[in-house]
Amino acid sequence: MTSVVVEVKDLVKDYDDFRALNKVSFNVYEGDIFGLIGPNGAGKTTLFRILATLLIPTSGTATIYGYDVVKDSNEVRKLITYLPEDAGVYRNITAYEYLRLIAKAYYTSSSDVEECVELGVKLLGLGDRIYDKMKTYSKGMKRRVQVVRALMIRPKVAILDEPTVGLDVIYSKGIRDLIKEFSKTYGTTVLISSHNMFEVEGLCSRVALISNGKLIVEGFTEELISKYGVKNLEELFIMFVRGVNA
Amino acid sequence: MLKELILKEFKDLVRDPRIWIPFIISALVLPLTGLIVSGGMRESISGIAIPSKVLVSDLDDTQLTRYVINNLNTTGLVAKLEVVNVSDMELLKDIAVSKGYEVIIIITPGFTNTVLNNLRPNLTIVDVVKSISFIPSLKSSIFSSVINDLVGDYILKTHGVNLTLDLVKQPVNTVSLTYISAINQTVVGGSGIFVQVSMTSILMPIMFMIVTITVLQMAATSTAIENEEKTLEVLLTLPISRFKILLGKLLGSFAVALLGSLASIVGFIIYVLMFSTVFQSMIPSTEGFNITSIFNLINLKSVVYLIVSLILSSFAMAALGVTVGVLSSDVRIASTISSPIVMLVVLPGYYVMFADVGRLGSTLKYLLYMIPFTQPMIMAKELMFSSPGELTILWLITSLIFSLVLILLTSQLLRFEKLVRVQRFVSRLRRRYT
Repeated sequence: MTSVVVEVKDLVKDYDDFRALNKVSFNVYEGDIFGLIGPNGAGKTTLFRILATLLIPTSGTATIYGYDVVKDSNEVRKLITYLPEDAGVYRNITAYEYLRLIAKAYYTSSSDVEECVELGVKLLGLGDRIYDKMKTYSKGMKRRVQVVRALMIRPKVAILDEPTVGLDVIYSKGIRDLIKEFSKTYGTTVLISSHNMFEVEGLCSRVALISNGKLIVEGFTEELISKYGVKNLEELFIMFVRGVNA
Repeated sequence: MLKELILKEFKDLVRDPRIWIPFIISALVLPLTGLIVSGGMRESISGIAIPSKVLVSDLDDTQLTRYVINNLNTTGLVAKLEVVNVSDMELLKDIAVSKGYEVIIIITPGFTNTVLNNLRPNLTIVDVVKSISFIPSLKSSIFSSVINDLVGDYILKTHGVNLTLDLVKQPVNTVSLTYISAINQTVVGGSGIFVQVSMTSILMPIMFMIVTITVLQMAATSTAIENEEKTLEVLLTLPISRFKILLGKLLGSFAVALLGSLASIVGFIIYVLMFSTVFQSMIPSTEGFNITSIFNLINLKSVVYLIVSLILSSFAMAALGVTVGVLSSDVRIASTISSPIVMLVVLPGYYVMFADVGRLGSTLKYLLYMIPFTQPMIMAKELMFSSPGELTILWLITSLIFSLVLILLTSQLLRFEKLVRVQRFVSRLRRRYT
């Protein structure tokens, strides 16, 4: 049996009098690609930000490889990478310089840094354009830089908030393939959020649906579709979200 | 249609509190600026008040010179007048300083004979000042004018004829000098010359203030872009300390600022050299006085300290900019906050610019030396012409500590949790006012 690497227990997050997360609990297992789905404002980004050590939960706990995201945030940061939704790039530095900067944040020995950058260059696949300033890149290229940045250091857990949002079909597929292949090759656990149900269905072995800050349903993607007698994840999503809001 | 377009633009701007709040702050800051500047000027002006205490060394001692001295007493310009017969300039300075005389008038031997031969005699008038002030003492020029009138009046009464209009209008050739008692130096020119010199020592800080304001805005914008583009969010999840993240931003901005400042330093050196040449050619040949150009009094060691201080001031501005940027969720907010902060930061500098630094209390003076934004100003005014004191290095260290503490405090604020709270607070404010 694969081990639990991310354990979320009774997580609550309040912004003043607004409850963004309400006693959310789930586990993510090693090597999983775990999909977090839910309507806008459901609490997905808040949950990811807590796991990425950016926000402090009001109550409840979240651990990554046994490290508490609040008490052991420094240890957690060594194990994870986080891709915020709509994260931009530094306009006047090149993708190569950026990848090198990130590699140096995680590795001290120059051979490790070189190895990491080499992997990044390979995953990015931009050819000589990697030496161009990132302001000259298309939206898809910029997003791919960010995804590669989050993967190339071979984190134990990669937290990707809507990695393909706003991208065309070709770039979206490229990024999905990259995440899937990378997780398979390096055994990286990936947490991903998306509004594209087909993307999540094709990519994630397990999913959790949250709405209004509450976890509605969680389990293996295939099992959930079969259990609730729906054709696909999109129908499951609509069924539960309408049910919650009704 | 134009009316609608104008109305749309007006509403769009006026409904955004980030647009009009700076105007309100500016409206509040400007009277404060006036108050501070007038405070500084009041200090300086009180030092040049007339009537004055005058020491006259009458080395000619004739009917004409006695006529001039007696009539000086009736002009209302003189509060106290003492007549001596001392040719030694050092002794005259000692008497002036010990008895608090503000003007020394030296009537040279043969003064009357020269006048009677229809020639212009030399008259030396020395302004005695404690230190260099932006507001000049006009005493030497006032006394020069009065003595010219008195001598003209005398020769008209005694000669009446054979006079040229030019000679009657200006019968005396005045040599104006200024004795700066704090540094025991006599320089050419009445203390009005300090206006030009002060302008030089003030121009440099102004120039650097412009550079440092650019530094603040650059650092603030660059940090705010990190917030806006969410690259800061990425940085905060890296295994790097918050202090290091901010220090990286600070030093990066500062390095760019330093390059910009170096160009300004070169420009300033050329500027000073040009002035120096002009002043050097103005030194008169007056016997018995050790006179120099005021630019020769510039202490090179102090100039080096001043440059270090300016660099540290620029560093502090960058630190402040990073702090502003951290608190701003986007570039517009950063620009909005930067403007009033810049105004508040430069305000104390205005005080220093117009105040007579020599007359400031020691507590206030030390405070102005400790704040990185006023330190170059006060240093430029006070130390340009004297050796840097033992405390100067301490002040420079204080300035550096100020910046580092600011960054350390900001790094404590740099918790995403807190940033989100600030951003939510700003959003709520915006919703309330729009």
